[in-house]
Amino acid sequence: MILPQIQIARGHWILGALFLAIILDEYLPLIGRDDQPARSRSPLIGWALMIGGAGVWATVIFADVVHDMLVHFLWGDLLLAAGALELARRRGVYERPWLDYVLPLAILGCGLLFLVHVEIDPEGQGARWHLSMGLLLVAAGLLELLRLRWPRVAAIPLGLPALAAFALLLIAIPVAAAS
Amino acid sequence: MTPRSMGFTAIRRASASVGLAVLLLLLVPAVASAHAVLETSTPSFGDVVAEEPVRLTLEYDEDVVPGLAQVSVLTPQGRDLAQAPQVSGSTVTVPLDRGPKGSYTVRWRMVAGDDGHVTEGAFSFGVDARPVAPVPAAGAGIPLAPEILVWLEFIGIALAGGTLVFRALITAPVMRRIGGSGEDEGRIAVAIAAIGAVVALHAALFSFLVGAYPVVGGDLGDFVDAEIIPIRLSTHLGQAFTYSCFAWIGVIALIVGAWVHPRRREALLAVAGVASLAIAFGLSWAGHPAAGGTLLLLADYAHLLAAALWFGGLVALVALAAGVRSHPDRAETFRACLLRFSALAPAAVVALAGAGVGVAIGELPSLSAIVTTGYGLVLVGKTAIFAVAIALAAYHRYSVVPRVAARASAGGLRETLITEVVILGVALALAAVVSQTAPPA
Repeated sequence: MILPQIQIARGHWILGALFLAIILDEYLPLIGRDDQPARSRSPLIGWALMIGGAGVWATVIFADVVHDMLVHFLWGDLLLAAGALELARRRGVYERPWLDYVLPLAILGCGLLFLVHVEIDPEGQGARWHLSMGLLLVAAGLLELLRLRWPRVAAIPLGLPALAAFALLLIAIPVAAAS
Repeated sequence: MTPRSMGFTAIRRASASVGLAVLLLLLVPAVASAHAVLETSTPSFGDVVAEEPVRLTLEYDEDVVPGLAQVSVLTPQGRDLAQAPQVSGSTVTVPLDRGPKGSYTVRWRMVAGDDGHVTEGAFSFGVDARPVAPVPAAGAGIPLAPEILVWLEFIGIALAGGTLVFRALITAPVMRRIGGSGEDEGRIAVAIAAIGAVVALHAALFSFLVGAYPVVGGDLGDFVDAEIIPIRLSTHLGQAFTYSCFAWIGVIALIVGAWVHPRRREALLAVAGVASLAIAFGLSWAGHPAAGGTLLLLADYAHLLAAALWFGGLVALVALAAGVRSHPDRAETFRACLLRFSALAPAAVVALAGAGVGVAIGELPSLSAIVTTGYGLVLVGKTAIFAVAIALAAYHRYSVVPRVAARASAGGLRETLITEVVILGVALALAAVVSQTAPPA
């Protein structure tokens, strides 16, 4: 089975829309019962990362060129590992202080892999899109790490604008290609 | 707002966003935007043509450099029918000499006109015959022994399949009978199975790439830009890779589900274990036994299954024994599991030996081939190592287990179990060598 290119473009659409919904669920400020900012405990992001990891591994399997397989398997591993750890933390079966860093580091790692993708195939059709998306994820990851290390901004979702821009870029790819 | 209502709000918000996105998806046309190298060819890969074609036409997604285009079209006998390629923009036409009927291998290498990137690929088509997988290029190899990757796949299957089936058939019933939460043992089983599934998934990926490289040929550095679809689709290696990778991802999801849902752990782990053992069929299907008929294929699969159950069960026993050291209260659990395993393990050993003999009879053309061919000699070595493992298993079964059953001292059991695991690991390594050695004709 070969995935038609149109399905790949639609895949970007689906991923972008899902990603937007999930990061809004994860990062929009919530007010707890005590009127204080509350941290999301929704397992949605964990399952989303797992499903995203499985989806990226599917890209490994259906890749048409070897370098796509190599970049995407690292990406899939990162998402699967981050998803498993986030799920375990949010369901209370595995809790460690360092787990706070999992999500920001996963976002940062995915951004770096986008940049590696561009480096390997700088003339590829999606190179400029990949570069923009990689930079947005790197910025979001770094800002979320900053939020962890700087208590004064802990209640402000610093990475949300960059993550939302990333999701909108994903959604825009097929629209731009169609125009 | 209560935490519970916060959760519902989040779910509603996400559901609404996803619904809106899917709606928009249906309304807006999507267009291609992904990477492509060879777009079409005539004949295409997998085609069967009635008469030998007089030319091969390749269409690329961008212009290629005329002077650097390389194309070979090999007959089943290895004769190259291709004349000098004629390039016009992104179209490459290759006049062909006349050849016999059979499966033809096309191997191409192009340099892109804009950025100078090298791409390459291989595929096969048939002339009045069903095309078989593209033949490997002469002299192309990869500095990473495929045997190591196959061995890692064996180990992964044994760790995920063997330890989880051990848990379903042995540990879980024991825990139900003697009581106890089994929480720690469950986490250990999850960890061992997760390691096995992750190792097997990655070994499957790299096994496929190592197997695909000689088919494409050319420089190893250029292989990263090789087009891989024809090899994935037209070879047992590629088809097994496709299905086994998807299945391993499913197994990993089940294991993670078991980790985060302790109440459903046993059921999820049991399904993951059975699925892991089912994936092992792909290894047999992509190997030499597949060419020997259904019976030989099933014998090879049974051989692999039995080895996985034996090895995985032993690893699970060693993990339980290690737990007894730090938690003496778990000694009764270990004792009951050992007794139950020793009652079931002989069936796996008998199946292993019987299926192994069946595979040897099917693969070896004569008795003398055991000592006159490389395949036969590796087989002898593997059998000898398995014989040592069986001897140690017999020592456990007939000397140690009766003492454990009588609650007498069985000092050093953990060490001898580890020794048996190591010996079986070596035997599996030799089995991987056998799987990569061509049987004598």
